[in-house]
Amino acid sequence: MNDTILQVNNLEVSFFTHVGEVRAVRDVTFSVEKGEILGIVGESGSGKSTVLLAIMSLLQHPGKIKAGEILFENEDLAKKSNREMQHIRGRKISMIFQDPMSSLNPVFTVGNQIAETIITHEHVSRSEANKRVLELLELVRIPSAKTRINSYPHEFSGGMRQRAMIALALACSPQMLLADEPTTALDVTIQAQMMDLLRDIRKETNTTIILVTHDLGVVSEMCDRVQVMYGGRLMEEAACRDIFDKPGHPYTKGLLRSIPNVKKGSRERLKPIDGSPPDLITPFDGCPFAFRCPHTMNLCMDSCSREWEIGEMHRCACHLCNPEVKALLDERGNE
Amino acid sequence: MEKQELLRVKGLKKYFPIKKGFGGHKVQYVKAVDNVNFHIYKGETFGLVGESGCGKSTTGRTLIRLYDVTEGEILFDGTDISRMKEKELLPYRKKMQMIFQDPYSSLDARMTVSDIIGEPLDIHGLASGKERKDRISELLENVGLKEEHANRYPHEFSGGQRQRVGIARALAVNPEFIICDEPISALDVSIQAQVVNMLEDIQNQYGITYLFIAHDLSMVRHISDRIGVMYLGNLVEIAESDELYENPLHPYTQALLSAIPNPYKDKNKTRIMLEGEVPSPIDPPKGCRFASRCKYAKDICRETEPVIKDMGNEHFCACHLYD
Repeated sequence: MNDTILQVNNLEVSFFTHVGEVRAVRDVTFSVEKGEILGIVGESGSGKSTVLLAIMSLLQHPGKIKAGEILFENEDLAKKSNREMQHIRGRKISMIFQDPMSSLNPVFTVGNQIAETIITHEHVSRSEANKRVLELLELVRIPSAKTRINSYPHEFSGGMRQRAMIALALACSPQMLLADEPTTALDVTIQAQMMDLLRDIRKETNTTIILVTHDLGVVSEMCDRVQVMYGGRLMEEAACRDIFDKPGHPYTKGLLRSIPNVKKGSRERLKPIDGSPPDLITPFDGCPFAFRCPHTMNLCMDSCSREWEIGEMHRCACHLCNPEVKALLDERGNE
Repeated sequence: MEKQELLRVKGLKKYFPIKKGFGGHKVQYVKAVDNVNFHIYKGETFGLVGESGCGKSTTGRTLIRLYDVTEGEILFDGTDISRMKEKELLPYRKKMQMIFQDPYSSLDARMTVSDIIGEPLDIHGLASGKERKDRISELLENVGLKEEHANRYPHEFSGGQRQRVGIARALAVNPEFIICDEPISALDVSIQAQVVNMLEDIQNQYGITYLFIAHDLSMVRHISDRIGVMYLGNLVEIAESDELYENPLHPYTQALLSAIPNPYKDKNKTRIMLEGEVPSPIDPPKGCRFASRCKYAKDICRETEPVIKDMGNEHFCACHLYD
């Protein structure tokens, strides 16, 4: 039996901007099992990165956690002070960002930056730390790590920088790794190398990984479980295969239809989702997808559906999955 | 029906000088595009794929003469435009247009949409007064925007809508040929499909020829009739799109295609992992440029550069394996 490493309950995050409150994350509840790779997919503005930042307590002003709990090892991270979080960040939970160039310091060598993390958190000597750095660079498969340890970030290529970032994140053997679009800035062949690396690291160190991405292909190759977010809400959650084989939510279905299938006969016309992503400033209690959904009912405009169990470990927040609504619709269909 | 050539590129080279030292005398060159040959038929979509730094965008920009050609010929409808002066080039500028990747920086933030779309009309003297206004409304409608959008500024639009404005601007002069330089990379997945469908509709309606530059390989296959694969300034393979994806010949193409993460992938196909990184284009390796990462590399690959050859069935490949 797996155990839960992270439990997020009813998380609400808002940005209080001068034009009004932007409700970036609304009533999000999920859990992460030890050792799994959980994917969170969604388009820009869906709130997927905000969830990660909230877990790390890295939300910048004017962003704030309005409500909810983030339970990690039975402690609520949302209530921790910045000081307490410093002991958790980097040591227990660490994060990889999308752009490796801007997240590494250009004036320190890569080895130096990784060693700094180790010394800060574990209070070991310089030489001890350097030994660890070498091991880490080898773990992330940087060729000739011994000489590369003294290189500056600008001397690395994009793929190597992302490897260095991963080494930095793994420096204190965290239990959980949050990866925010780790492969988006990379070329496909380098992306393939990186996905391989993350999978190997999970196998070797049993680190739990939350992977945030907009690329459904990456999700399908990496993740055990997937969550789909839209307009700040969780729309669907299922085992990776089920999302692709039997999607339940109209948004997930639309998303899958709008990517071309690399198979024979792929020249058929794409079926895009009409309309554009929701505006999160205007208060709206209905389903965020209601304006673009082909099945919108009056109900969808009034309230967002709760999550319905539609299969094993498969939850979907859509009124169409409500057995009562289904029965009603069937009745009407028969009339 | 006989396919007509619209564009033929012969031995195209584009080198960017890097000056070094005091006074900038020590000159080296970044060989961004090095001896590229291909042709595009009228009315088709030619896809150009490759990883960042392979020279695909430079090729596009050189074709439209945003960059000066270092060497080689660009035959547009049989006329060589590679050495033309600005004045002679003007009529060709009307025939060739470009859509850029970044819908944010490619539109002037201080111009209204009607100014942006109207500018090419003014430059080429195509319409004025009421005619100009009607033409702008017509163009907006063509790309799925409304007439009332004309007086707004780019910041009032979403990314997908801005890209539509960019497309309307390209269409303004009734071009025969449009270079789409990663037109959908900056857009969300659900919006990408909208824009791709629109590009296809426009092509069907006006018979425009596209050069579609992208790194999203599944989208390229969807939209293109033929595809060219670039690696480090060289064109390594050209084929019809289904042929290329079913039967890739060049080892680089094989690796590139197998690296596409795809939810509906054939589980029996294993991924070909490429080791290492792309060499620097400043001093590219002698012989085949892919040799340092190719698992089939032989001695000849490190010595002589392979030439692109017809393998039959409109399939061209530059690799010593097929000598």
